Amino acid sequence: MRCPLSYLRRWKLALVIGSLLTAIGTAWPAEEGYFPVKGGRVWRTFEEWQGGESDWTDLVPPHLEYSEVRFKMGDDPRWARVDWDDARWARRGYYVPVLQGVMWVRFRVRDLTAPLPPAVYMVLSAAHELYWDGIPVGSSGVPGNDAATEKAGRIRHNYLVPETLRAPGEHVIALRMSTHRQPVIARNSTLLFCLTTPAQLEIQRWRFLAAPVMQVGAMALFALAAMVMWLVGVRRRALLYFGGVCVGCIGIQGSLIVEYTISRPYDIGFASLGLLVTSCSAMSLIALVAEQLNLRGVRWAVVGVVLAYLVLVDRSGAPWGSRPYLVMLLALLAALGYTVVGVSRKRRGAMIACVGVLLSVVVDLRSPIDFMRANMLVGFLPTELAMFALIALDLRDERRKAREAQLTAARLEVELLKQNLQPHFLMNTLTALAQTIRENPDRAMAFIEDLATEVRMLAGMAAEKHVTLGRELELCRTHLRVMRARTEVDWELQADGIDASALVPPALFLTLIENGFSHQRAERPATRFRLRARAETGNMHYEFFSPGVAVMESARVEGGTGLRYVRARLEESFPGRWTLSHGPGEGGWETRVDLRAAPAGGDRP
Amino acid sequence: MRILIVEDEAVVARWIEQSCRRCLGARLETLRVAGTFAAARAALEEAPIDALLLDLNLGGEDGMALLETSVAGSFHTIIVSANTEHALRAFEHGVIDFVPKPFTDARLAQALARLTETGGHSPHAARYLAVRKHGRVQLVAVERVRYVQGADDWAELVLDDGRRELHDKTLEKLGAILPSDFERIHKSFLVRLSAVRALHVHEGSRYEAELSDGTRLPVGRTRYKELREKLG
Repeated sequence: MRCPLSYLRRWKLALVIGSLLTAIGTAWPAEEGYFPVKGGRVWRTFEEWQGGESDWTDLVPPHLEYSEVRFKMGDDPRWARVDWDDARWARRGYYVPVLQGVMWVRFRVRDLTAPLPPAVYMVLSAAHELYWDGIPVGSSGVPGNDAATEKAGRIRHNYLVPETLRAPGEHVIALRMSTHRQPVIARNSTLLFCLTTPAQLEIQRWRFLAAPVMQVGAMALFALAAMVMWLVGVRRRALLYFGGVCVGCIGIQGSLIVEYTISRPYDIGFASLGLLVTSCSAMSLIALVAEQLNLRGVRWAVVGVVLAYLVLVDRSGAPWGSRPYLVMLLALLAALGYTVVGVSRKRRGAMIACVGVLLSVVVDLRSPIDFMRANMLVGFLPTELAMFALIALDLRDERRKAREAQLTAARLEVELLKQNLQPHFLMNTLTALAQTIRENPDRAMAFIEDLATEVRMLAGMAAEKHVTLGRELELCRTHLRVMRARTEVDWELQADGIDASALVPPALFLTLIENGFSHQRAERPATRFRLRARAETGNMHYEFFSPGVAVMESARVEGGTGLRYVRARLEESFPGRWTLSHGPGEGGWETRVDLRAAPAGGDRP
Repeated sequence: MRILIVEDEAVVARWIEQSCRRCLGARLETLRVAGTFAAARAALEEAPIDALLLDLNLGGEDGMALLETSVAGSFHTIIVSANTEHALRAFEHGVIDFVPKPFTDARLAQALARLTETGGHSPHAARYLAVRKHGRVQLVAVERVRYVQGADDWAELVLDDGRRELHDKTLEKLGAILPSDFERIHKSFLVRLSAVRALHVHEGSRYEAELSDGTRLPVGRTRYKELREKLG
């Protein structure tokens, strides 16, 4: 059995590339998002304030408005106050800057028609304290002047604003914050500040959780099925790649579940992690499709995906959240390429794979380009299903082939005995024996001994797939002694270059000898069969010569049941690794059998 | 008696040879052994024989071809072979016996006896008679033969459509392999009993058999009584 760890070697490349992409990505700061704010205070709806429609738009009351964000480096507790004049502070959009040291961010919310909703849902990648109209309502971690004094908090927050602070009208939000522990080098980080009801938030949370939970379940089932198959002995590399894809998906979806339940500390680079895991998953997917369709060049496909990523995605400055998605899409396109090649080369199941991957691409293109959105990996499902179907088809074929092999083995066993213990052989031999007993009892005893040995050897090797050449030659020589006793012709077998331990199908050369007797007329003194063996880097070449002219050359070429048996036996013992050719030679018939060495992993069933 | 043994296994050939010598004794005139069919054909060309002891399988060569030629000959053929699956076909072609290998001296002697005894008959009747025509051997179905007229060393088969075919075997030898339905009604005639419609007695103890197509054949004086009993 091969150690499962040895397959990890295949993922090493994917890991390295994933890390590399992460490193390149983190060194490449994304663009800032400014509002074009000029002059005095500008009020905007939540949607405008967020820079476009988002998942949260519906949750925020329609009359709620947000002012532009202003910020200032430094630290002063008075900056939390409602009446503090921030008119001269720097203006920001919904991004907050990532700078060294403590800074303050201020903005206002107002609803002139109704009290403000009580729940604040906030996503901010910073340690912070939140003040509502100058009163602290929540905090996450502890802001500090440097990385040592800062304590990182979680990235997603739910705060409740007391009823007394929510009267209709304008309210001041102030954030004291620091971002020393940003995992990604960026000039700013997103600020989501959603005001809504706790019930709405709960619904929203489950909307986000449903897909990842389902997908983790599905992928875990897939992975478990693959693992069980592996454990019960279906040792296919495809299963490991399959498991790799599943585990990658579980990793991403699982972390999404964590994110939407307890949230992560802001200093853990989720997008980079996502990119890393997605890369592994994506590379496994390419390897899986290539393996299943028996195509080569996975390394080049992976390199192609990486290059495409660097050229198309990385340089475009695509947002972090979209990068794993794009890696995924590129991998799916590479897999699609493989399936197209598979179809053109008429690989088994290539059509199923092609349809599966194509569906994946379509699903992927239609889902939001954001890996935080759970749909991203839904696209994998059709491909995974197609691959699972292919593996199942393979297994079915294997079972059928195994059954056929069993039948073949049984048939060949019968065939060997039938060929060599034919009634007329026994009857003729017994007739000769009867006369020999009369003429020369001593010789008759030897005759009986030889006949018994031959029958014993035949019975002993009939059910075997391979016998040593030594045993085979012993059988041949015993048979020739029997024939010598019958015909009083000095039949001989000369063997050169023999490796007695080499393996051959049982009764291979015996059948060739019998074919010689059946189809050729040997005249004395040409009564010598000859076997020449040559080993060449694990391959064996045999040249077998049987003396005498062919009685009927066409019948000799066809070879009858004997040759059919030889061919069937060769195919059983050396599947796809043998060739047999024969033809008339000098004073006899030449048969050439070449046996090629088995591939490293053994014969494919 | 002149015998040709066709057998490629020297040991067995020796046995058959010894058996022949023992059984036939002084009656044995010549005995030759051929190891191949080619040698057998040459031996047949070389000198006439009275009996052929033939192995059907010589080192993979099928003896049926030689059999078909030999049954057209004037001699009887005995098959000595392990290929018992050919026995029925051999009998159909008109061999006088089939001795399966391995055999005993007694069994071989029994076969040889069929050659020498008067009235010796094949255990299974022939269904075909091989006739030599234009240098080729043709098979004639026995059921089509109405009667056989004997000449000196050969016979003439008269078929149901009136055609006549020459056969190299004598009337005696044909009688030994034809079905028991065929009766010797005259020293020169073998007739299928079922084809006899009536018997006529003429003056001067002259007897005639009338066949279903009106043909009248002479009946031997000594055979008339027996024939009348058989016809009832």
